[in-house]
This record gives sequence, structure tokens and C-alpha cells, in this order.
Amino acid sequence: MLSAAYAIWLREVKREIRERGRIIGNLFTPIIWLGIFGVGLGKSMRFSGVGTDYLTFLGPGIVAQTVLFSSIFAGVSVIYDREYGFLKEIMVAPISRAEIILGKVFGGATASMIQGTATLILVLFMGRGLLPNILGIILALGFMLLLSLALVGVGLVGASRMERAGGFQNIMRMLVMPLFFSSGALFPLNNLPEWLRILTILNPITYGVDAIRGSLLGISIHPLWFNFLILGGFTLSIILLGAHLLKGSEA
Amino acid sequence: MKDIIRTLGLTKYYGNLLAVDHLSFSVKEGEIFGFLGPNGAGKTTTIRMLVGLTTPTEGTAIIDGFDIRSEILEVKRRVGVVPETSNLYDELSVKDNLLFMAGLYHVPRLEREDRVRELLESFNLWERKDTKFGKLSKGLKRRLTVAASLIHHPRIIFLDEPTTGLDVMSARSLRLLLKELRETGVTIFLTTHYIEEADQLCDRIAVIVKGRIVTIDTPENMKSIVRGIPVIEALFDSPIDKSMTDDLSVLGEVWVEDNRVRMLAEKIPETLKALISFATRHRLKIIEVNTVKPGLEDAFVKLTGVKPEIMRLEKERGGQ
Repeated sequence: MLSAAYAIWLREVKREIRERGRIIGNLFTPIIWLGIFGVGLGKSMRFSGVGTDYLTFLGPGIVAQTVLFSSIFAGVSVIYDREYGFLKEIMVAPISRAEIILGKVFGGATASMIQGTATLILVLFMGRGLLPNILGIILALGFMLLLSLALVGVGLVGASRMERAGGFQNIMRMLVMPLFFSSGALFPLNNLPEWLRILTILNPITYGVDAIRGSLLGISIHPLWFNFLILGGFTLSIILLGAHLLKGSEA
Repeated sequence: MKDIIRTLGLTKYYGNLLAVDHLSFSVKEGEIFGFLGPNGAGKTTTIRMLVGLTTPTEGTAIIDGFDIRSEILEVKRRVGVVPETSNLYDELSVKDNLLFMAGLYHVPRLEREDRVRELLESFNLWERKDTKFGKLSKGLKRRLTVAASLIHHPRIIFLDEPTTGLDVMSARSLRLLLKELRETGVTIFLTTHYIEEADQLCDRIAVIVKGRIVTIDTPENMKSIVRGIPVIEALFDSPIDKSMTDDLSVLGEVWVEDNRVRMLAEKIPETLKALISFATRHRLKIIEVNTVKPGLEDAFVKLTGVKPEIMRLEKERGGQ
């Protein structure tokens, strides 16, 4: 029954693995953030009240950032598929839309997990005083997956509404920076002015960042179960919404 | 023979534009059925409805006993689709592409390798199994796309302009392949704007213009409507421009190809006279005049009023 979803998933993963250059290339961005931004800022400011040094604090944020950017990219690939007619071939196969969406979403999420895991390994080596246990790493991986499913879902919603990848990419380029900056990836969220605090509460990425940091460092604003509920609820609703919208669209 | 496809008033509007206008026709099991018509006639839209890429505005079709409106998954299990542009994955190998399709079409895991090998061998593509799809020639790409459409043993395959963009040799070998395929009992539904192709390949042709079927018949029967009307073909010493022949066309349909003018000649003496004065007026030398046996092309012009060269030009300009 799920063989079609599996085929779609495998295709996405194969496509990702074939482009090894991209995986290594994409590791460049987190290295810059941690190595230059993190080290530089960590040395020049006093970072207190969180219980760790800035570079260590930043690490999990950068892991979330990698997942954020690569998942959005995976979402965009759904639109490219439509643009180049690949979606058509899938749409003429005798499979339900649910299977297509399952394959696409998990395929995209797996691709971005490969990136995210590479960054996670990097962070484990760079962060000082960071000795997370195996359970912490497993929890972090789980939250990374949840975050990435949510963001591929956002891509899916975009794909069902947009004809051209260019338009969606422009919107995401506009959205992705504010989402990233207001997620708590770069700075702690206590002591913020009211308007910014509201922004961080409304930003679903916040809960992903908080959960990943909580799993790796034991430092978090919300308890993990709370983050899980919020992020899980968001993920589920966005995927259902995408599935619903894609149902009515034509390849 | 039983009807494997039957459409019942199949209609598609795009906004106010009527793309397909109440089509009712049937395709017999095991035949090669061709949709022949110019661009924008509704050929592709009809296929898109039959394979479930878009829903009809009105009417429906029954394919192998299943309704495209209510049982589209059953229909999809029974049909294979070869789109106009090959949409297999450039970055996957020939074999991986077929394995992907096998998964998509629920071919049981244990049978996949065998099925893929069988298809690649019968399509002479086995030696290329590890080549990336993107590296294949156009002809081989189309060949593999046809192979891919057969992965789940469909009873019918739909091909949209299968030979467009192929060189002469690849087109010929693809036509041969389709004829062989018919021998295995697969029904073939194709669209084309090449009259010669429809003539050589199809058992029956539906001529479609502006969303409506003008006629459905065998190529032979279609030709018989122009049988008896002689066609005169004159060869000149230099190329003829279409605009020069306006005054000739009062006598009947005229078409031009390079140095050649061809016309339906209901009255031979008058046509000859007109050709001679045409030559004098434009200072052309007549090299040769022949009466030729009318072909499907002549029948097509007579039936539709659409000039075959117009169809060719439109296609080359890259319309869909």
C-alpha cells in the first residue's frame, strides 16, 4: 500500500545524497555562524544569566537554522517538480494524494535531516562544556525532524497555491530571516521588549529552537513536552492544510 | 471488438473558453487510435481528462469499464501515460527511473527487478541501464518514457505527440515499436499533428478541430472522400511564397512546399491554365506538372479546411 510513498521518499533522498557537494557546501554557513559570528560576539560581550558561554548557547540555534533553511528549500522543490512536470508523472499514477504528500513531506524532511545532522555533529565538536548524553541527542534529532516536517509542510502549502517557484522563493526569502531572528536561535528571549516578545511567541520556530537547546544543553524556556505539543500541533495542522489544498489543485 | 474507451459528451471549459466540446467517441480494444488536429484543437486536454490530470466540466468517459469521474484510481491502474515532454528524472539512471515507476505503480517488490530488466531488454535499453536519464539522446529518452509507461502492464497507453522533436530515424523506430506493442494487445491512443504519421500508424483516426471531432474513420476511408478528385502538383524553378497563390485558391485548396504547388483540381483544364498564367505572372519556370493520387493530407484539408503546413508551422513555433 505504501510502496508509492516509499518510492517518492527514496527518490527525494537519492537526489539529496547524489549532491554530496551541496551537503558539504551547506556546512559552510553554520561554520561561518559559529566560527566567526559566535566566536566574535562571544568574545566581545558579556553573556550571563543563561548558564553557559555564548558559543555553546548558539550551537543548538544554528542546528535549528540549518534545518529551517534546508527544509524550506525542500518545500520549494515541490514547486519545481510541478514546474518541470515531474508532479504530473506522479499525479497520473494510481495512488492517493495522501501517499504523494506522505512521500514528499518525509522525503524533504529526510533530506534536511541529513544537513541538520551534519551541523549537529559540528556543534558537538565546537561547543565547549557541551557533553550531552545519548538521550539528549536522540531528543534533539526528534525535535529537528518535527521542525523540518513543519517547514516542508509550509512549502507544501505554498506549492499548492503557487505556479512558479520564483514567487514562492521570494516570499520565503522575505519570511525566513524574521522567523530565524525572532526564534531565539541567536539570543535568549528573556528581557525582550513587549512587541518582540509577542513575535517570538507567535513564531513556531521558537518552540523548535527551545526544544533542541533544551535537549542538548538542558537550558530551555518551556518544558520539552510543551514545546512538543505546540510544534507537533503546528506540524500536523500545516500538513493537513497542505494536503487539503493540494487535493484541489491540478498538476 | 469491444470498446475499451467510450466518452460521453466529454467537455472542458477553461473559464469561458470551450476547449473540448461534447466529445462522444469510442476506441476499440487493441487498436491504434489517433487524434489528429492542429494546435489548440483540444487533443492534449482530452488526454488530460482521460488520465485524470484534470476533471471534465461536463460529460464523462468509461475506460475499461471504469468511470473517469468516480473511479479514477481504477482507471489509472489500467492506463500508462507518455507525456509530450519526457519527465523522468535526469539525475537518476535508466534503471533507477524504472524502479521508481515500479514503486509508484505498486509493482510487487519481488517482481520489480525482473519487470525492469524485461522492459529494458525488449526496448534495447539494457546496456544503458546505468546511464543517467539526462545523458540519453532525445530518441532514447522517448523510448524509455514509453517503456516506463508500460511498467504496470497497462491495457491502454496514451501518448501525447510521441514523435514531435525526434529525428527521422528515432521517429521511425518509435513508430515501429508502437506497432509491435499493438501486437501484444495493448490499445494505443495517441495525438499527432503529423498527417503522414497518422496515416502510417493508426488503425482509426479522429480529426479534431476547435474541440470537436470532424470525422472518425480509417485512413483508407478518409482518403476515399478525395478519391476521384485529381490533385495536380507543379514544380517550379524557385521557391513559392504562400502569399503569391491567393488568386489560385479560388479554384480549390492550394498548398505550397518550397518549389512545389499542389492543388485539388476539380476541373483539370482550368487548373492547368491558371498554373500557366501564375507562372508567367511571377516569371517562374514550370519544371514539371503531375497529377498525383490524393492522400490523407488532401482528405484532411478537404475535411477541415486547415492547411497541413499551418499545423507544422505552429508546432515549430513551440505552441502546445
